[in-house]
Amino acid sequence: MKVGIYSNVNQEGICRKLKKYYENIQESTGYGDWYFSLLNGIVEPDVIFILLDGFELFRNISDLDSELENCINIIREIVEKNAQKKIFVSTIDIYENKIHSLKDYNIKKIQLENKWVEELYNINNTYSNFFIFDLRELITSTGRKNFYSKKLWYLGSLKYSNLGENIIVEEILLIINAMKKARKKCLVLDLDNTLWGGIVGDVGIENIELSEFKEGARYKDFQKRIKELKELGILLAISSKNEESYVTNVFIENKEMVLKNEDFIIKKINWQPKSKNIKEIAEELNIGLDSIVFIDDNPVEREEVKTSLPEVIVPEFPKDTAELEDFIIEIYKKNFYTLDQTEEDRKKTKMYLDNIKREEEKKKSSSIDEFLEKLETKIYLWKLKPENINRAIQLIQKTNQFNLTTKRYTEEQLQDMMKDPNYEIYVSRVEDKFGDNGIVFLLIAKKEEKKVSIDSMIMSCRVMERYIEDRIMSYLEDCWFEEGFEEIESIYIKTERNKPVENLFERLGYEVMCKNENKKIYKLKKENKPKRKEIGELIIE
Amino acid sequence: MEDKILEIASKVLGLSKDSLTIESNRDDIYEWDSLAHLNLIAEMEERLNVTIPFEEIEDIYSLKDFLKYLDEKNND
Repeated sequence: MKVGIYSNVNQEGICRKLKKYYENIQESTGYGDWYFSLLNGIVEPDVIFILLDGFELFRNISDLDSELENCINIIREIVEKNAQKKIFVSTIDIYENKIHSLKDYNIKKIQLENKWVEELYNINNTYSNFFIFDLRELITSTGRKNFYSKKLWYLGSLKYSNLGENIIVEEILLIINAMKKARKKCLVLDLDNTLWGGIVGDVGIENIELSEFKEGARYKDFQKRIKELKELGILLAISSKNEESYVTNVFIENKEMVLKNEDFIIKKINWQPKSKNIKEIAEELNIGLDSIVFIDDNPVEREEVKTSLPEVIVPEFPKDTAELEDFIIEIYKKNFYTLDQTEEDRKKTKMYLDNIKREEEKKKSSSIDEFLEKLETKIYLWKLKPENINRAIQLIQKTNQFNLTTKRYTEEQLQDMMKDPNYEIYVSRVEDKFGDNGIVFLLIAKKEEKKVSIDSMIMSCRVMERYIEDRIMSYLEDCWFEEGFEEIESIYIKTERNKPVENLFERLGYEVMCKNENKKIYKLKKENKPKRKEIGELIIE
Repeated sequence: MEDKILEIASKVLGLSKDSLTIESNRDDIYEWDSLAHLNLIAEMEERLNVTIPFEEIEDIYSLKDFLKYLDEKNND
């Protein structure tokens, strides 16, 4: 992934600092025309940061409003022209020293700053490849006197101080990281002295520190931010050494609790080692230990988890609990930073909880078939639409188990395939009586002269072992054979994680044409199509 | 204090500390270009908590030139 930095001031300092941590940086040449190469040349970077200095943008300009409009139009054009790249544009801060009387307040610069944000916000809502880089927020929360450097400006046209540059670099690196690495999935929390102050078993439910204002607000603010993490699709779990009845009653009786019982997907309230609890949580949720972050105020507990489960991220708990809110924001940025959330993210906790109910139903059923019948599954299938792209990309990038070829296509590649008449891309949403699983299936097929080849077939592990793939494939095969294709080809490419589908196409009645250690190629001809289980209802949209 | 100066310089210039001495200067060190010079000034001011006046920045030639500002600070 190539990252480009563009600016209307000298950005060399920022680029040089960035390169120490991320090599693939391209800087724009000549800072007078930050937009020229983006509009006219070949743009190499996949991710573009446009960092604009407010004061320089309007230096010596008399008609400020039309200059602003002009810049915004340029940005809009850049975003449209580079639809396949991610573009971050900064908010602006106009730092101007001017001598004037008290009465003569300069409202114009604040109006310009705000108008700028408003315009960026509109672009943000129109284009999925556009993001706001909130430079003004970074500057104001640091303080202008510290963020800017007069000396470096006079010496080298560098606007920002060493500190200012470091803050910008840190933010850019967090964003790069969020795009490159899979984010963590689950946050495991301790209770006493973590989610609230005090030990509930000692002080009682009403006396724990938790309130809107004053001391207890340290914990309430912390809880509010954790609740926001949950809304982004992060799963919350508890591991606490406590009496279960106390904890249950805190959730029921303490009105200050922001986090509710149902916000937590799993609660391990017992006296066993926390590492054991975390291990069980990972197993029950079917996620890797490396996608868990654990928060506990007790250094002994943290050490125990760190030693037994080195894959788990265990941040140091702040010594000063006034910093709890900053602490969770930092954890968010480092481990869960999210560019955009999908509908599936928002509903994730509920989906996992629905799944627990399904497991219970399964235990009650006398056979798997009986259980599957009882689920009343509805499978909705349609050709990929632009509004599902985010979710499709998420499935392509993140699914490891039920993934036949593990081709990690980018959004650009997927968009190209959508436009190409030789490709068909299907997605499917699965619903049953316990709830909606969201979009859980994706298939990319390539039509060649006489055959259709299945390029990718991906399904979320949430709905595995329910014969959903059987139902969908039967339908698609019929369509393709009807169109006149003679055979369907499919491939399995082995990875470390996709063993569950190693023999999927054998089960679907395909013939193995050739195979080696890492790869199998299959074929199906019309006359060989087997009869398969038909579970639930298939609805074509 | 020399050690601290070497540490800061090694970070800014992206060189190992062993490759630098307090006598290292702008002619010896390829990485010490004009941008690095500014970064060095900024980082020294911040980390050593000193102020290097505008007029003197161009005169700084070797790492030992930074010691002067520390001495000035200590004499205050």
